[in-house]
Amino acid sequence: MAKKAKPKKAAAGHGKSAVLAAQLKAQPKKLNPFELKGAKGHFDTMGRRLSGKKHNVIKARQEAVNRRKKTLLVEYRQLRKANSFVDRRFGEGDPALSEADKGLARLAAQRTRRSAEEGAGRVKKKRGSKFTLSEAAEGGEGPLLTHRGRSLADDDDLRALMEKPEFDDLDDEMAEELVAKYHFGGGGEEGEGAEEEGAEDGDKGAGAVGGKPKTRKQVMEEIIAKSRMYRALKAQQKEADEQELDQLNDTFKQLVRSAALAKYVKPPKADKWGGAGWLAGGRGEWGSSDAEWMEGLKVPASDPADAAYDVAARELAFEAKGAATERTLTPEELAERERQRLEALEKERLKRMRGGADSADEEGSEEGEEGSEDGGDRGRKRRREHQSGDALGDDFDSEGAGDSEEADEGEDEEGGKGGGGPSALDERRMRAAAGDHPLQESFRAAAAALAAKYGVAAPQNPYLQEEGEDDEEEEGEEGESDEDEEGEGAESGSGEGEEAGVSGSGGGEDEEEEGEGGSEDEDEDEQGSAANGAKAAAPQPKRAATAAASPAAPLDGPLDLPYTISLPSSYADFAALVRGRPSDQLAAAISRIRAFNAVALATDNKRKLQEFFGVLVQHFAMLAGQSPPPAAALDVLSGVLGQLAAEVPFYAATVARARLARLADNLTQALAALGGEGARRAAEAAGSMSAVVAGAGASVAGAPAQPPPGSAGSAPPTSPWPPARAVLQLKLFAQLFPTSDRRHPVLTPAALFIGKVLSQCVVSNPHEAAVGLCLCSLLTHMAAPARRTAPEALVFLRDCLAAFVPPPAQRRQAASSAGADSEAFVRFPPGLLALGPDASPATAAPQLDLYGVLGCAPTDPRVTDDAFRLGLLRAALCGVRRCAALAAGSGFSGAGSSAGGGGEGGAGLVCYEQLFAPLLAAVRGLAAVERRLPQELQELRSSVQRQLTDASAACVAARRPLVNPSRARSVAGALPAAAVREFNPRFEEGFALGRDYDPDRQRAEERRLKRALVKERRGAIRELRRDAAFLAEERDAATAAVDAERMASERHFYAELQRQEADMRSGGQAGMNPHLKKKKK
Amino acid sequence: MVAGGLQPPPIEEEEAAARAVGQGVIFVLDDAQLEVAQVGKTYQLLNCDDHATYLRKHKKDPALYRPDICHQALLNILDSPLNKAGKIKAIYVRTHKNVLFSINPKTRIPRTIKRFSGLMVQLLQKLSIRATNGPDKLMKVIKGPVTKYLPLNCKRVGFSFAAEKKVAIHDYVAALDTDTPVAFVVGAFAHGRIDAPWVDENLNVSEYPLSAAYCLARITNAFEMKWRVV
Repeated sequence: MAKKAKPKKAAAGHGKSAVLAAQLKAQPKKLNPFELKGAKGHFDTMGRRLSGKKHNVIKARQEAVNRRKKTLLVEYRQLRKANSFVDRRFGEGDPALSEADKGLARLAAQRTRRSAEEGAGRVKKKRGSKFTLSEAAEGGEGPLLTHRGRSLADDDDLRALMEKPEFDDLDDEMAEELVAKYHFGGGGEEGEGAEEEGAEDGDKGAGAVGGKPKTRKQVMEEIIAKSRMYRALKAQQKEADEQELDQLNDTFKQLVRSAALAKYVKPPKADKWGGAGWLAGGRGEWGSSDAEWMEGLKVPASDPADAAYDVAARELAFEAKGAATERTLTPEELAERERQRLEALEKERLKRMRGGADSADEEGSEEGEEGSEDGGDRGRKRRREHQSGDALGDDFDSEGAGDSEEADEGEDEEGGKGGGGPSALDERRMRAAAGDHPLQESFRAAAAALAAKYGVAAPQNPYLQEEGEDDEEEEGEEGESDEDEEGEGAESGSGEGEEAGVSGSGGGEDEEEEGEGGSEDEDEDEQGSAANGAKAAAPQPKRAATAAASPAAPLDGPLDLPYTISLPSSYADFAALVRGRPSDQLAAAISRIRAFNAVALATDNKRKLQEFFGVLVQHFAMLAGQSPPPAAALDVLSGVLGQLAAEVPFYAATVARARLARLADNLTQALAALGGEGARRAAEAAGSMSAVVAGAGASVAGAPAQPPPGSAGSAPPTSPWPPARAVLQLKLFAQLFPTSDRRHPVLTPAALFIGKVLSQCVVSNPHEAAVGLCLCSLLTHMAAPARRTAPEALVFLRDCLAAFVPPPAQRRQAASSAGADSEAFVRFPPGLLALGPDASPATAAPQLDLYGVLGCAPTDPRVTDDAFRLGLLRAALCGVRRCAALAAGSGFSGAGSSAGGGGEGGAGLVCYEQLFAPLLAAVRGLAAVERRLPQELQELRSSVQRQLTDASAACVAARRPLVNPSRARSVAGALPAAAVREFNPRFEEGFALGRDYDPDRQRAEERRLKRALVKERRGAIRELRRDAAFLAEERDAATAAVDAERMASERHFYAELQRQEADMRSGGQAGMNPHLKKKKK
Repeated sequence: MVAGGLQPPPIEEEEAAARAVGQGVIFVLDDAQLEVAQVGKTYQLLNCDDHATYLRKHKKDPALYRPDICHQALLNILDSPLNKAGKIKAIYVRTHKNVLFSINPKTRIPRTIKRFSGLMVQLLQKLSIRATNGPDKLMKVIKGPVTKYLPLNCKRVGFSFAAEKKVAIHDYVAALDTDTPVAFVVGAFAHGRIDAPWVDENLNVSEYPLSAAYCLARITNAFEMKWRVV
């Protein structure tokens, strides 16, 4: 049907259907959706672009079968076959050739080969070449290049030509050129033209056009040549230009001189160069030279601002530059100058000492020099020294000494001039010196001692006897007039020579200190520190002490203190130098030593200075050991030591530690010697109340270097309480080193030592109590800046206060009788400090002074009287007050020692109440003896008690109950026990499906590889399975083909047999029977 | 392994049992407009701000792509003290493309919409989200319909501004039976109505149309007051 319909359509519209058919053919076959297969996402995602199209499953299967047929089947067929036949006949490789074409091609090839063989007769015929199909074996490449019928390959005519001798002188380049030109260069003229052009402008491209490209060398040479040429041209041009310019200049000058331009030019001064008309104007006075004229042409600024700028610029140019000044001196240079000054002074002093040859004018000149020196850098330097915090001794050294010398000299001169009798001035001085002031008396005594020592007859002061009381007015006047006359300090006013002047200044110093002490005293009353009170009270007796003590000591060294003192190598040297000298001379000596041996001057001085520090500390200890201690000298020494400790900090600490160690050893040995027995005995001794323990305080103070008692034996053991020198050394260390450090190599052991003394030593007499109170205040002072609390001090104060209360009679007896009780440690025997029966409120409590208390012996009757006890009570109460204030956190503003103390003021100890409860009890206990106390102490006691009570109450009130916050909240029921735990979802930024987000890269990679392996394995298994199926199919097909063939032949045989049978039966005509044939058809 | 060949019950059963007992609330956010699309090379959660032109190119209405509503609603539910007290049993979200996923009430939803978008993209491609600090699957795409997961005795309440029944939610919640769980179906869309024919009743809880977040806040508030969750 369809076949019939199609021709019809074709007949109807042949053209149209053809177009349609073509279109149908061109259109891709529409895919059967059931044959397609592809990946599908989870959801229909908008905008998703699938990576590949859906692939056709059927087609893929077919392709797989075809591929196998090409590969696997072929291999299968070659299986177990050793060889294969490869048809390499001519034309067999090209399937497009027909049989006839193949034959033709073979014939042509054969003919060609034969002719070639004939032509090249000398080429030996290779064996078997008859059968080769092509020339490939012989020639190698296709068509041969020939020249005049000869192959180019096998004749070397051209090369032979090049070898000829006439070309020898040509270089390679030339030869190449020749070759290029004559062989294949082509187009002779054209090539030459190009060559020429190339040579002319050196263009590489043109050269390349002409023939072969130029070598690099050629190019470089061309470039060099060209640049040289350009340079030459330029020079030439420049020369020509200059020539022309000169010419022009000459012409212009001539023109100018010839006044042809005169009417166009205006002289510079005539016009203000307004606008364009500057050339206008008559001929003025020309400058003689052109340069001047040009100068005149300078255009001044039209704008006033610009003019101002010009003026300013000119001023700047002429402004005076800063002159170089003398540079600031380095510390080394300053030290060197100081040393030189001292040397000069020493030279002068020696000269004066020798006395002989000095004349007035020399002296005058020297004085002048000195004065100028004084006025010059010395003054400046002195100021510097003062800035560096040098002691007041230095002032004295540089100023007072020199000035007093001057005064002396002046005096000498005066005396020389005046002749025999004393002048009016001398008389006035004598009268002034004849006062009955203790200082003056001491001066007189000192002068007498000196005079006696050196065998000089001291000039008698005639006013001394008759003028018993010289009115103060006159003296003051004298002083003033002296000052007016000499313009110097009052130290030379007494006119007694250098020493007197010196001690006078010393007195002045004392006055100053007293002033300070007074101010301190006021502070003390507010603060109530026992030690400071004692210290403040010190100056009054100190002055007396210096006045009394200094003349007594023999003066060892030279009368006049030398200026250049080398560093003393041992303490003996130093002691010899300063023995018997008053404190100001001591200060002068030390400052001269330091200035003369400044660290910057010599490398060795540092070490020597360290030794000197040790010597000074030893001197301090020696002085402190004296009774009473020389306060002024100690002050001088402590000031100097303070400065030196900053220079040699490590050595200072070492010295201090060594001394502390010795003190601690002494204490340990003394305590060991005492044992428990000593305490008991002390208690008994104190119980009797009348006797002062003789053995304990034998000679604690006063002995400079008393060895510690090694073995007490039967001898009464010494008191373990540190002597005055130890206390003063501790105080010195507390001044030298910072007390606020938490841990300090010196002060921590010092504090421990004090604590040990306070807690382990038994107090057996009021003097020891005073020392203990002193140590208490020292310990408090050391603990204050760091806001520490010293429990030893608190306990000691408590016991001390308790000792003021007289024990009840029966208990005293019990204490003395009971043996068991004696084993207990009793620091203060009960009632040790109780006031005597005759004490009354009228007895005033004296201010205890540190040096006085430390200096006096325990056996001193002054120590045992009631006034001293009252002083102790006041000191103890003040100590309690200070401790309480510190612990309550408000003690800092009063102490003034901590910089940031105000910030946390009021933050007291939490345990304040418990800490101070015993002390409070002790203070309350004092109420029993209150009526016998003076009014002042009663008030003090009640105020301390009030302070303690208030602070305790405040401390208790500030306490808050401890709470556990979370428990408190849960008790309040604000929250359920716990909120549900939350979990964070894990997701990645920019998630892409299929990517492994394992942070462990190695693990991810491993997993990826494993997955790939599994995939490969699965793929391989599938391939093998399909191969097997394919081969089985092929084998089946082959078997089927063989079977089919056999069946066919079998059928054929049977058919033949049947035919024969039929023939036989039908008459043997073998089917040739026409009837039968017809019938068959 | 558990001795004696005893296996613990499947986790789904346990969860279902936990949901079924005691008082608790189940929230179903219906018709959430969460859709992931390939924009450029990356997959992104479509929103009306960032993908306006993209959506127009694909002939979609940008106003219908509001993942922020769902985000706010989830934050409101999961941050409520009711949830902190453990009274929320389960949360289900059904998207506009009819993908249903459950959210564990212990989940801490990302606070920013950008991170939330990242989370949703991953959820809708990976079909589950695990916890960083725990073993559980916090979010999981599950097979619908959501009624399969609601307890049998649970009361199902839908919310619609167009509903007949107007109640104050506090009164309604206070009157609820405390023993049976309740499921609330709230629409997470800007315009439209919830497609939940299986609810027992539809409520109108305000005279004014409410945002999903605020509506949820009202519900949780009411329960907090009822159960004294402070």
